[in-house]
Amino acid sequence: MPDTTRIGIPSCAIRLICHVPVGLVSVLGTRLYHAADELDQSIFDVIPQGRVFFRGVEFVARAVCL
Amino acid sequence: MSLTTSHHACQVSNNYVQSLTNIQATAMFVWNIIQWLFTFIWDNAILAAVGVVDLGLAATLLTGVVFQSRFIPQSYSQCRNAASWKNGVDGRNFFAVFATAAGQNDKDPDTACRDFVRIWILAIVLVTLYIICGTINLLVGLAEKHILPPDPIVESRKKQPYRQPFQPTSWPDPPKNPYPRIYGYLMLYCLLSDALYYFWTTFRFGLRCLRKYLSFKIRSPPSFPVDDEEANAEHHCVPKKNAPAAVGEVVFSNCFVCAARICTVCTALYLPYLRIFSNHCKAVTLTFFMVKEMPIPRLHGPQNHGAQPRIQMPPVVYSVHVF
Repeated sequence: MPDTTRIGIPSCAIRLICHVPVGLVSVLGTRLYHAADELDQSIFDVIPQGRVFFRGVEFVARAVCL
Repeated sequence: MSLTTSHHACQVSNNYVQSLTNIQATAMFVWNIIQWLFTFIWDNAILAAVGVVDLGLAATLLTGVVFQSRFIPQSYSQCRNAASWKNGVDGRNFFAVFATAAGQNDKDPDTACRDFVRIWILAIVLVTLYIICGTINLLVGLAEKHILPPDPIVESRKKQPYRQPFQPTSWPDPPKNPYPRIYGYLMLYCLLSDALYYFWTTFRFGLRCLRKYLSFKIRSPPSFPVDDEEANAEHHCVPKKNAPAAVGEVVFSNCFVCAARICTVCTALYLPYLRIFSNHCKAVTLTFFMVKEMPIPRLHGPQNHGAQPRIQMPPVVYSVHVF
């Protein structure tokens, strides 16, 4: 029988709240990344901090995709 | 018009279902679900490992958030100037290019900008929650704290250790377990039922808040068919793509589902995912507590145009209340 006396319940409550932002970022963030990836990549060379911005979108999408 | 509308709605739903069925896109969601179900029975070592993974995810998301903040506007209000936001050296605008890309359903640059800002804000919320969750898991996993009073067997062993100094041959009998096995099952039952009750009350509280939020805080902007020029003139609606709105004029946008024209009055904050729980063409205004109670007007699609009289919105909708 597992030891049920550990304090994992606070993190369980926080994870319950996490479901909504995780789901939205997973679905919408990944969709935005794929859409931005299919763009003409030269747009990221001409806008200010474009490559860094695209890398940020990729980081968020990769984080939720593991 | 109806064919276009249904095609548009079907395309939107297909994109949504396609994203949901993408296993990679829901990996973190599955991770969150699994940890939510089993965290309270994990051992300390597993709990610490889960905390490290959570903090790693939070660090990755934080890096992405910081990188994104170098370019995108950091509030919805700044998206009103998305068509001219940080244009490239060749004059191109990223949001305009993104909005006209394939699969974006010809949305305007403001909507594309709001999509990016929405993900940016949600990622910040996610980073905050995951840092808290990972820190709790890591600290609890390393500290080996217990939620119940200390185990009497362990405590008695601490007071009377097996190995006595100066009497190595005297091994005391191990203390007898004072609790029958049924006590363990009762404890597990109580903990599980308490946890389930806690989750259910929290979930029910959230649902109640959401219901109140939707019923009291949501106002519909006036909507009317796109080709209703009389309504356009009456509401002083001007397209935002062609020219910036002058003083006293209200820019319009189109409904997510039915493509009916919506006059965005005051400072309307659109939360499209709330349309899952309510009818479409709803806006959450920032003038929550100053707007008088009024019935939510029905959506007037092209199929009802002329069949029913259009509801005249009271002029209080157009007043701007700034706190």
